[in-house]
Amino acid sequence: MLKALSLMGQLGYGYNKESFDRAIAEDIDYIGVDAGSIDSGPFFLGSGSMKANYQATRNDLEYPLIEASKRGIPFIVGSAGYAGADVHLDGFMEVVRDIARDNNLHLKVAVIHSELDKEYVLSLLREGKIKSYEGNPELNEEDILSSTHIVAQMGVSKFIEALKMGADLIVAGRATDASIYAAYPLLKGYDPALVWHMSKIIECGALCAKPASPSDALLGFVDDDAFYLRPPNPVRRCTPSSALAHSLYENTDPYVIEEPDGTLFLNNAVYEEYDQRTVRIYGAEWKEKSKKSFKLEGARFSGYRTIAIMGIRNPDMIAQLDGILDDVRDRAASEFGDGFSLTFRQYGKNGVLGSFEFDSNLHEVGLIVDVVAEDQRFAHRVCSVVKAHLQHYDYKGRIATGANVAFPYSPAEIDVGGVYEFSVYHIAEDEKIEDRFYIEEIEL
Amino acid sequence: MRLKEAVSVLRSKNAGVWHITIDIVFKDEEVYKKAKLKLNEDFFKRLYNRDDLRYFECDGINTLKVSFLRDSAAGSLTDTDCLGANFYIPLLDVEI
Repeated sequence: MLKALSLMGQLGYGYNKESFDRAIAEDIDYIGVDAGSIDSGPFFLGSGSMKANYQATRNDLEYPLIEASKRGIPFIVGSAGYAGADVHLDGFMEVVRDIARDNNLHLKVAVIHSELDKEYVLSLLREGKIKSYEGNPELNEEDILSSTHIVAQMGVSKFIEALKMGADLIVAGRATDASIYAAYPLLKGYDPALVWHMSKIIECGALCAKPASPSDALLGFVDDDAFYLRPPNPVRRCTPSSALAHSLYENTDPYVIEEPDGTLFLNNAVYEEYDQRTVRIYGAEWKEKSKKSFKLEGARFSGYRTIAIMGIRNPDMIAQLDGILDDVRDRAASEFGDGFSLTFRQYGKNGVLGSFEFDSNLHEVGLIVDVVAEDQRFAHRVCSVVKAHLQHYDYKGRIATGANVAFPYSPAEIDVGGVYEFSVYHIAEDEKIEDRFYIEEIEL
Repeated sequence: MRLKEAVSVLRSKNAGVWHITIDIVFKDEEVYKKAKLKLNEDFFKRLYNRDDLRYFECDGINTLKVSFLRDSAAGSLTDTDCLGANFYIPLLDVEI
């Protein structure tokens, strides 16, 4: 039987030391942790920033890495530095180098790169090897050229190569969450269907336990005919329903999970109670892909943002608000022409659900004037003028001539900085993409 | 019975940058079967105004799942919910 430890759902959320100590006492074979995602939007990939900053990353990595190193347990980090571009790997390695130096650790580190250069992605597009995904827009050359970073989600093959090299620590760029956990047991010859299904569930740590937590650990055991999940923290347990509900999570299809290396089918999966805190699972099927496919992710810069936040409480103004905002938008367009985008966000009035809103009750509106423009000073100026128009707008029946809106902040205009948007999220079918991923060996 | 009283999990979440997926895990088979009489593919297509919505009945696990394209990519200038985590809300008080 092989024993995997998922340190937590996302590195940087604050790991649980007691859970780690309990888990490591079980003679685990390897430790995995997912350090990234695209969940938090396009900013991190576009700007190259880490979501978990130096301190957050160091806090969660230092003690587990020291303990793993002492015992010779391989430690595998996927999507390091959050979005997995080379600049994220650099930021993550700064933390690793400091930990190694301050604790006198000697580590063989395999850094796996998965950022792609634009010319290469363009060549894939021109060869017809990039397709849209369940109906999202077709990719065009401008989407590629305008991206600041484009990464591919790697599968297991480079992880396996790094393990064969004897890496103590693998620091991978963008990778599928399951690949982080699947590589080691696949290398050891375990059944791919069991391995991929287990890896898909444990990548979120104790999020599949009851009570759920993304900041706590999960143990996964795989043998020849089943795998088992158990949280090391005694206050949590894994049940058939908790594990099953989690296997649906974040997939458009509940039974079919696509990976670069193959497809996992969950139609016949069986979830059984093994003991009060452990679930036993088997029955998934795995079909190797004849041609590997990779998900590409890219983000582009879309301008600088300035916002102003204000509250509107007067019922007469709220009743006329849509017309007022249309008028203010027209005025902004005639005063400033183009080169900016203006979005009004009306919290209290369809601000969250947008076109899906069904409740018409409202008594106040939190309004955000959101301006994105080519440079920060222009965004600031447009935002300031739009804000002033709203502040003094002479709507029909207005009797209060002070100010129409409440400002919670001074100054009312807040410069947010650079804004990014996703430009690429597509499937590329080409075995050779894998040749673009490369391993950098670093001895610390 | 309102849907929120019939489920152990009712959530929405991004499935990648362009898609929303909604998971409805019912408390037991009886209530799941009852709910399916109303919460069918057409119901979700109308509620979310999506002709190309994908609908799944997961009989063994008393779960319904629907997935559809977002109005705009997660985190884009006009997006209202970067994680896509609030799209289950129109379902809370649906009578089944």
